[in-house]
Amino acid sequence: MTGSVRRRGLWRASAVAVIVLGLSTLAAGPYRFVFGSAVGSTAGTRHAPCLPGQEVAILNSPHIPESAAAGTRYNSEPPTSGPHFGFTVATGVYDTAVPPGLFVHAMEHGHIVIHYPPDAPEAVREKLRGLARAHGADVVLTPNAQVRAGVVLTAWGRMERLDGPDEARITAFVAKLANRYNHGWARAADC
Amino acid sequence: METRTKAAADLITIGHDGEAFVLGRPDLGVYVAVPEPGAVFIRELQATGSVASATAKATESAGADVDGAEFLQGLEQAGLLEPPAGAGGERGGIRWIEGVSQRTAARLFGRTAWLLYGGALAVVLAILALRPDLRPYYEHAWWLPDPILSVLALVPLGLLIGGLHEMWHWLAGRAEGVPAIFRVSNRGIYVVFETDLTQIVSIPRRRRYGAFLAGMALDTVVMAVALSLRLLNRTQVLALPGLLDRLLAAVVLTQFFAIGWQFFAVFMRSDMYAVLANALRCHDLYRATWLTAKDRLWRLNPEESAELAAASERDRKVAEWFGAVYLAGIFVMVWLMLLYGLPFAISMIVWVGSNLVRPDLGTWAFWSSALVAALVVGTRVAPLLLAARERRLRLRGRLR
Repeated sequence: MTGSVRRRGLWRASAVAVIVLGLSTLAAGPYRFVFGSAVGSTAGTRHAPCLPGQEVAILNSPHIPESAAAGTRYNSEPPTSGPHFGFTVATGVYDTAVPPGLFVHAMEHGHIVIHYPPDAPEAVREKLRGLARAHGADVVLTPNAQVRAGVVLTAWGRMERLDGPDEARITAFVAKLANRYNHGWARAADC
Repeated sequence: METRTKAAADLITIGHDGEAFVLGRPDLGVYVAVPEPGAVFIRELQATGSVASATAKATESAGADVDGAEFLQGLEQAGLLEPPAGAGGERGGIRWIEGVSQRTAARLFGRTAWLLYGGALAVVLAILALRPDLRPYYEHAWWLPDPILSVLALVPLGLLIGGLHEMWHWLAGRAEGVPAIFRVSNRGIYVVFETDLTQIVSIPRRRRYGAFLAGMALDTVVMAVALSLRLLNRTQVLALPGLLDRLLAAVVLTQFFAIGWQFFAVFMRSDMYAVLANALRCHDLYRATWLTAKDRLWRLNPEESAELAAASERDRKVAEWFGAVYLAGIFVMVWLMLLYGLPFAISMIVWVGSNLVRPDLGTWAFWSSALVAALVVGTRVAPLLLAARERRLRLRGRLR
């Protein structure tokens, strides 16, 4: 009887230890990501003169409902951080405008957003679609009525304006800035 | 008398299951394990229609006198000699699917077909290993700029693929001559597809793997096609519309999760559980493992102790270590939930909650959020509240 009780105690202790150890290991990795999914981002601006584009000050970036979107003001056009919806969009090519509440969230996940004027020539669109397909895991391509001319590239806290679909500069922007941020700065240093 | 017995015996299938033989009536869902002389008896009865001849053969096989009449009486009591059930049974099988012949079904599970399934698996593994940018990511679930429409639009596709998964199990069973039943039913508001493969015990174990693996094979083919199309689009060989590419990403995500579930959720009797239990020559490893784990960590009540004692020796022996397989499966599923399910669920809760807390009655966001909240409360929370109320009343003696 005593042996049986002791054996059961050992089994219980072993099971608890394995489960606690396993769950701690599992949770240690994605905790920041899960936490960020719930509340948004709080990391501050980071200076990186070696990177493509211009730095844009990072705003407080909480989650907002759709009813608050119309009254939201950003510090740049298009925005590179700030209030956004609680869900994001998959990367890829969009033929209709993705709202700021969504593409800001995409940038918060480390993605690059390529904006072009809705009346851009088909040749420009086609070139951009090809580039967006090639960088399909990193890029959201969207028409944006607030972009009057050229092409605008945005990442979290970063923006570059181009006269047209300059492949070399777009590729460099994506290579240097994709995944730089994901609910927090992802790299120890940029330069 | 003998004519009636022969007619009933002709409906019995004979399967070899390790040390025992399984006599089955697939049309009734009745199976009985018997020693080899029992199988010899039925085979002879089916061949000659003579109980005396069958008894003589069984006696020869047993090396001792066999009472044929008593054996038949036992079979009758077990329900194996009942008249045939009506076509389709009472379980609502789908006639047009069940009309597929064994020969037609076998074409989907021949050597060439399995080479194709294996090739699809190789394609999936190669693309996932060599192209990290094509790996599934939880945000692929939002392939439309509206989270609720994204999920709603995936429902019919999920039903289609889920239906095909179950149908492939059924077809693989059919290919082996197992008269399985495929049916569509509902659990609450959810449509479910089910394949009844219980009759598979009537064929040798080595022939059962196809039926167990068929669902995952189909899932793998779907995933391979979706991944290949995305790869061709990414490498500019194809120029898919953006919407289609994102839909394919969502399909890859759902298939990744579906295959992961079938592979690792052994503790929930997934397809891989069936494969492992079959390979380990067990009968009800699932129950034996849970009872063994409960006995070690807690204690068994008298009924459970009796159930574990009645399990086969093989089941009890394997169950001693199979709990570790359950634990490994639980860890993998928790990891998948943390990486995929939890961020998705949190984002949806934040979105729905924020739209309800700060409502704008003129928007789709508010009404779709209200719909989702009502569905969740109705299908998830209400049963919990009712169960809690029932328990409270039971404890107070107001409910028996």
